[in-house]
Amino acid sequence: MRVAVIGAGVIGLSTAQSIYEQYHSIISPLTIEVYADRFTPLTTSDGAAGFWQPYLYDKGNVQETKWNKETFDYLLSFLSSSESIKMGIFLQSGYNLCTEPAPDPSFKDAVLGFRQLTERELKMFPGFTYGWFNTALMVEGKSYLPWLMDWLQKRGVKFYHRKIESFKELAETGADVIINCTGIRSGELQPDPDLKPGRGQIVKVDAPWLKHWIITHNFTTGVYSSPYIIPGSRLVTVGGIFQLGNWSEQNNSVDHKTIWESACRLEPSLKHARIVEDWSGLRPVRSKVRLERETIQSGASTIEVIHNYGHGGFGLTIHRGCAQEAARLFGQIVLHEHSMKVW
Amino acid sequence: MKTVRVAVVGAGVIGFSTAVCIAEALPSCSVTLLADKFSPDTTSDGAAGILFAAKFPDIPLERQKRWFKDSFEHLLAIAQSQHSPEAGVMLSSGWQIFKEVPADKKPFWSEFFGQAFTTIKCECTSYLPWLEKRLSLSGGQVQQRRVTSLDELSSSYDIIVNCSGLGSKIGQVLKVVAPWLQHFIRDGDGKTYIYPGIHSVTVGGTRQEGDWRLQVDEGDTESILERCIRLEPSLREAKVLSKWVGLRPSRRNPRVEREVVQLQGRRVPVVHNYGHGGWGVTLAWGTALDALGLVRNCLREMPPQAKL
Repeated sequence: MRVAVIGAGVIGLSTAQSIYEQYHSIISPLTIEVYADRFTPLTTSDGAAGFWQPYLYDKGNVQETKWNKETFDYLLSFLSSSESIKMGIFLQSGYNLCTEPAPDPSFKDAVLGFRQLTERELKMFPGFTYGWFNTALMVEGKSYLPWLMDWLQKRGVKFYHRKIESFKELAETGADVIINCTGIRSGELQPDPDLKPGRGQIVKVDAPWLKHWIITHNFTTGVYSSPYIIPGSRLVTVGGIFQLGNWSEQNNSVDHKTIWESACRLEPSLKHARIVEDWSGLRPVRSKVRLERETIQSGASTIEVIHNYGHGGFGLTIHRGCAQEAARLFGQIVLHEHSMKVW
Repeated sequence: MKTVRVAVVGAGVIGFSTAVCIAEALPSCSVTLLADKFSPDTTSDGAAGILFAAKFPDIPLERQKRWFKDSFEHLLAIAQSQHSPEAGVMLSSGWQIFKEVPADKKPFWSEFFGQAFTTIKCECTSYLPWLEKRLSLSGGQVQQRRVTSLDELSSSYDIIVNCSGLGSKIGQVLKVVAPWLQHFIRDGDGKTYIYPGIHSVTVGGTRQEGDWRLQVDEGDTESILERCIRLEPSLREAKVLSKWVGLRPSRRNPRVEREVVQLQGRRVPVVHNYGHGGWGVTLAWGTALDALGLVRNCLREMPPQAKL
């Protein structure tokens, strides 16, 4: 059986991993291939800070809350090994700040040590009157993706640096199942009016005295539009831009100023931080993640596709849960088509 | 009124904190800090500098609480300001864990029970130079000089403040590179700890009774690494930058009190502020404020024209 994964961000690579893990001993031969025109460190996953945190509220998407938690627990399990830092995984605690009381977020049971902020703690953040403290995980794309690629390569997964123009193209070369993990550019393979870019820009700075993430929330302007400061293993990511519908991947100096000024107000010590670089990326925003099977008619035959895209600003946060679900959908296809051969 | 000349002996965290407190609060005093060793060669420089409550047997609890609170509030204000990186003062969160099996276990630390909290880390290799700047802004002076007895100072100074720690309990720590570590982890028994700092992580430690050797012990190095890796497996990937051995100025209780000493025919007020053991950074500002109060008492009792 030949599986073709399109996309080599965290979603594509982790889906390839889940399929391999669950089926390599059941299906023989199982050929997995990954096609992409961008690989690490040039994917959207690489630019992200690598902070595990879903949006505050899941708006009824309980599946997504479940996948987020599954991902958290999965990453947490690596902490007891020394592999963790090669994977870019480590714990970090910090502050979620609001300007008014708010209901507990959907992830309160997934993270460690979730609690409300005390009066004394809130005094440290003038302008904010409510918030939470918890310990969460970091999973840095620039380490995690190379680790995943290495993991896959060791198990015979092949990589092709190529832009795929259509599902048909892959089907014609003999792929049995296509996994569509093309993130923001999924619309090029199949129009999806629900998929829009949520442009973000970040500034990466050298400020090693910062050991906590600080995420502010503005319920009027929306998610990611309020400053956030997320220390990483080497540099600190400073951001707070969310522009729905903006396709530009160029750094914008007005956005830089907005980010920098509001972050310095939040954390005065940033004044002395050395600015290393800016980066812009497009969050693949959708009303909900598209994780489903689709059988596409192509002339006389059909193409089996599993879509796994539209993870907005929480791709790293949700990747494992979605990858496992995608593998489960793959299993349905396998069962349906090969039920005789499998057993 | 003539300026009162105050000598502060010792350039560690206690000496500089005390000198700054006095210089900033008492413009009628001219403060000179004297020491043989300065940063980065003081005991304070080896300290990880994590603020952690201590308990001394003979000091009234209220006074100890005040010391801790004053120090914490002082450093918190610096940590929250733009001076944080230059002063080497930052917030630090983490866990203290214990091996006794408790009734209620925390799921993450499956074998351990623990407490999570946020405290402050104050790195003396940055903090001491930053305090020195603050001292000179208030007109204070610094002199490199080995003071072997208080006698030497009696003719030039009206009040002597003794902050010369002088260690007795050895400890060994390592500095490793592990920039992904954001939390401190401390074994409740105090013998094993991991304290991430600005540029390196301090791991330790040993507290051997009666061992005066000021040399790095390789056996201790291995033991420290082994114990810390058990707490934090990712440390296996950390490169060791340096090793440090120092003597904590341990005493049953810190000595923060004043006395009048007969020196070269004069009665000289001496304020003591030493013996903070492993809690120098934690208690520096609080005990310095206490010492300032004692200096004020000395000033009040000084005869108005009795200056040579």
